[in-house]
Amino acid sequence: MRTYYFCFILLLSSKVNSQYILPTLDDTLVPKHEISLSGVADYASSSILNSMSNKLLYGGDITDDIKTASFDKHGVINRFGVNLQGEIEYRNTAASLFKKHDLGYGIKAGYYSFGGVVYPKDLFGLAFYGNAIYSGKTADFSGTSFSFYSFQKIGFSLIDKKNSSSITLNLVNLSSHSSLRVNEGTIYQSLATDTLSLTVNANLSNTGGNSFSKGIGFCLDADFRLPMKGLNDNVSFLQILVKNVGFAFMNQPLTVNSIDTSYATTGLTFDELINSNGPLTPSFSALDSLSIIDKYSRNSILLPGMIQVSKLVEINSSRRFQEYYGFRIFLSKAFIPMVFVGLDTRLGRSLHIGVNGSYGGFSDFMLGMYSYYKIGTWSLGVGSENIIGFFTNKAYGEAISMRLRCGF
Amino acid sequence: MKNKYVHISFLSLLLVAFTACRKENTSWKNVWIAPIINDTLSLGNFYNDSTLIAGTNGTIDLDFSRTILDLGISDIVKIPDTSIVQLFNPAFGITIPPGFDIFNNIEQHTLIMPGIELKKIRVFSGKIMLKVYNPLNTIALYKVILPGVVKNGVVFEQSYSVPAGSQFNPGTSTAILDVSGYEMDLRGINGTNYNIIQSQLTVKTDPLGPSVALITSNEFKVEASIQNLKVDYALGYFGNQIVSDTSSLTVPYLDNITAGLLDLPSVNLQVEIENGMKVPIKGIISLIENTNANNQTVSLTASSLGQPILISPAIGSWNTLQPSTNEISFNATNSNVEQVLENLGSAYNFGYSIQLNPLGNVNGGWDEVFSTSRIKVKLKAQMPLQMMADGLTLQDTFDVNLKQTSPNITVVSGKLILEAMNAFPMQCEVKLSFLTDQGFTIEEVFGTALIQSANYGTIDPVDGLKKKLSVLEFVFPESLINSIDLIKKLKVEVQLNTPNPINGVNQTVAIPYGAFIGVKIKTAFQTKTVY
Repeated sequence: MRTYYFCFILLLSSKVNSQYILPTLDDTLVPKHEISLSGVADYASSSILNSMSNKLLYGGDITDDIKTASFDKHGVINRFGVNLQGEIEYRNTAASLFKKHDLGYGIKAGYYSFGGVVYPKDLFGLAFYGNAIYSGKTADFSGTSFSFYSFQKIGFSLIDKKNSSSITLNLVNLSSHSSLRVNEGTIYQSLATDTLSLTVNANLSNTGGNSFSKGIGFCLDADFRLPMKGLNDNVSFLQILVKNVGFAFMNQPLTVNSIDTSYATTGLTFDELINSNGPLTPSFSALDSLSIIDKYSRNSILLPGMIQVSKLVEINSSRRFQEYYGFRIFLSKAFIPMVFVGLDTRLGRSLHIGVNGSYGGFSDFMLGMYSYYKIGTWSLGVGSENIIGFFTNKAYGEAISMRLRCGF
Repeated sequence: MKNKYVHISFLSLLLVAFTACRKENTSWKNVWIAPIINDTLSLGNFYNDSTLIAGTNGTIDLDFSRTILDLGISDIVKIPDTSIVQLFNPAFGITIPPGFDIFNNIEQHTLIMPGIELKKIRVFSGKIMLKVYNPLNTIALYKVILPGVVKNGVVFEQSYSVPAGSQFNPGTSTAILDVSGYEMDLRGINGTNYNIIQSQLTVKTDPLGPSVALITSNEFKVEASIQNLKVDYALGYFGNQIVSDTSSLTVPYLDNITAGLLDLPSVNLQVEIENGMKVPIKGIISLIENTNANNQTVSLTASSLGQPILISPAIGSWNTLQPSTNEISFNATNSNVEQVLENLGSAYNFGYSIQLNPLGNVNGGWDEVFSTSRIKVKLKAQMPLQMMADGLTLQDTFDVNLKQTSPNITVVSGKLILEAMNAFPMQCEVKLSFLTDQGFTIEEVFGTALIQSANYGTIDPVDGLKKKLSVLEFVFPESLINSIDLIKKLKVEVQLNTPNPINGVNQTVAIPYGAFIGVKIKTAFQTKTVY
C-alpha cells in the first residue's frame, strides 16, 4: 500500500498524468466479464512551450515574454495537436457467440475530439504579434493545414477468447468538423509600411448548423495480438491496434469557404476612403472586398483513425523487467509517425511502473511514465506520455491517460 | 483500509478533473499596421472649374470667371406648333373624266408669335404632319407645294395618290415630312408681310381611272401640322423681349471655411455683357451678393449697379460674326468688392436683366440672329492667389461606420501616423472630432505636431518647389476606443496660418503653381484577442 500511495501521490502531484496507450498491458488471466473505463487527454507541440499552451488551454494573459519564448523555438514547419477521448467497454468472454466456444463479444462507446495543425513560423508570428514585426519582410503562412474532429461512437465487438484479439464495428455520430488548408498565403509590407500586399488561396470547411449530429458513419476498431518468440523462448505478443478507421457521411454537405485573392495597396485616396463604398461608410463590407466564395461540397470525411503496432507487456510474467516498443500513426497531417520504446518494471505482485521515450506525433522527443496497479478484480492504470510537461513550462505539451478495469 | 485509500484517491481524481475544466479567458495582444491613405492634395482639385488657374508668374491665379447667362437663337425665336387646314368645295356638280384638274389654289397661314415679326427663317429641325382627304370614288392625285419654302433652290413639293373614297368616308393618305434645312420666306404672297407661311394644293383625278361625278358637297381637304420647328437663322424684328433673373453661383470648398480671416489683395471684378446677335440690347446688373457658411451676406454696393448698359448689334454673319461687348468694373475704389469676396462664402447671387431692341424696331425689321449668335453675361475676377491666412479654419464632416464587430478580437488602442510633405506656404493644425449620429462630440484628437509651412523647408531641385516634411500622430485614447460603436461622423478641422519663418507672424503669401501636400496615413492598432 505504501508503494501504491507513493506512486499515486507522485502522479497526482503532477496534475494526475498517466499513460495514454503505452504500454498496453496484456493480462493472460481473462475474466469472464470485464468493464473498463479509459480516458486520454493529450496535447503536444513541436514548438509551443507549455508556458504558452497552458495559457491557450487553461486561460490567462499571454505576455510578450511568453510569446517570445515560444516564437524563438519555432522552426520552418511546426505542429500542434490535441487528442481527447473517453471510452467505456464491456467484454463478455463467458458467452459463446454464434454457438462458437472461442467467440465472445463486447460493446463499447466513446467520445473523441482530435485536432491538429501544421503551420509555418510566420503564422504564429501573425497570430500572436500581428504584422508589425514583419515591416520590410514577407510573412509566409503558405502550407498551413488544420483539421478538427469531434465524434462519438458505439460499437459491437467480436472477441477471440484464445488470444483476446477483437474486432469492433462502430456506428459514428460526427458532431463537429473543421478543416483549413492554406495553399498560398503571404503578407508583405514595406519597411516604411506604405505598401501592403496580401495573397491568399485557402479553403475552410465547416460543419454548419446547431444540430448535435452533423453526420453518420462507420469506423472499425481492431486489436490483433500475434504471439512472437523471444530470445529465451519466452512468448510475448505483438499487438496491432486499429482505432476509428472509417468515414462519416454528412447529413448536409460541408460549407467550404474559398478565398483566392491578391490585394495590394499603398493606401487609398481621400475620395476612395469616403466615397459611397469606401471603408469608412456604413455600406462597406470587408469580406465582400476579399472575394470569399461560399461553396457546398464534400459529402463524406475520413475520420482521424489510429494504427499502432507494439510489443505488449505481460502483467503476469515472472520477469521483473520487460521491454516494449512500437510505432503509432494517426491519419492526420499534423501527427507524424511516432516510434517509442520503454521498459516495464514489476514491483511486487500487483504494481507495475514503467518509463518510455518516444519521438514523433505532434511533438518531437517525449519521455513517458506510467503505473499500473491491480487489486482483486480491479485494476487501474495511470500515466503520461509526456511526463516532463507536468514539471516544467519549457516542455512541449502535457498528456494524461487513465484506465480503470473491473473483471468479474 | 485499502478500500478507504482507493475511495479517497478517486474522489481526489474527480476533484482535480472538475477543477481542471474551469478555464479563465485566454488573451493576448497584437499590433497591426497598414497604409490607409496615400494621396496628394493640390489645388488641381479646383482647376477643373477654373476657380484657380495657372498664373503667369509661377503662382496660381484666383479666377472667378463665370458665365451667368448664355442665350441663343432658340431662346429668342420660338416657332409655335401650328395647324393649317386647306379646304376646297366645287362650285357646281359635273361628271369629270379621268385626269381632270379639280383644284389648284394658294393659301396663306399665320405663325402666331406676339411681338415678333419674322421675314425669314431657316429650319434646323422640324416636321410637318400631313393628311389629305379624297371624297371621290376614284383615286385622286394630290400635290402639296409650300411656296417660299426652299432647300437648295428647290421649292418644297410633295405628291400623293389618295385612294378612292366617298363623301362620307373619304379616302385618306398621311405623311410625315422632314423640313430640316429648308429656308422659309415668311413675307407672304406679296412679299411685304411677316410670319406668313403659304401652301398650294392641286388635286387631279386618276388619268387611268373612271369618269366620276363631282358634286358641290364634295370636300377636298389638306391638314398640315407644323411641329417642333427649331431655327438656326432668323431675319426680322425680334420684339423687345426682356430676360430677367437672379442666378446662383457656388464656388466649391469655400463653404467649408468656418472661421478665421483671409486677406486677399486688391480685387477687380468685372461684369461683361456680350451681344452676338445683330440686335441692339440693353443690360442691367442689379445685384451681386455673397453668403458664407455662417449665413452672413455681403452685398455689392456701387454706383454703376442698376444702371443700364447699351450694347450695339454684332457685326458680320455666320462664321464672321463679331459680338459687341460692354462691361462694368467694380474695384476697391468704386465699390466694396473686396468685402464681398473676403466674406468667403461659396454662394453668390447675381441679378440681371437683358432687353432686346430697347428702342423698338429701329432697323426696319432687318435684325438677324444666327445659330452662332449668343448673348452672354460674364463675371470676371482674376488675381494672383496671394493671401494671408490667420486662423482660417476649414471643416468637413463625413459619415463613418466604425464597429468592433468581433466579440473575440477588439481594438484596445491605436494611432494614425501622418506623414505630410507640404509645398504650400501654409501651416496646418489638424483636429479630428468623433461625433455621434446626433452630432455630439465624443472625443477630439489633435495631431501631436503641426503640418509645417513649406516656408520652413527647402527647395526641391526637381520641381523647384519649397517643401517641408512633417510627421505627426493622432493617438486614440482608450475612452475613444471604448465608444467606437457610437461614432457615426468624423469631423476634420484644419486651421491654416501663413507664418513668416523668421518671426512667426502671419504674412501674405503667394501660392506657387503646382503646390501640393502629399499625405500618407498609416494605422498602428493594438488588438486584444480574448476567448
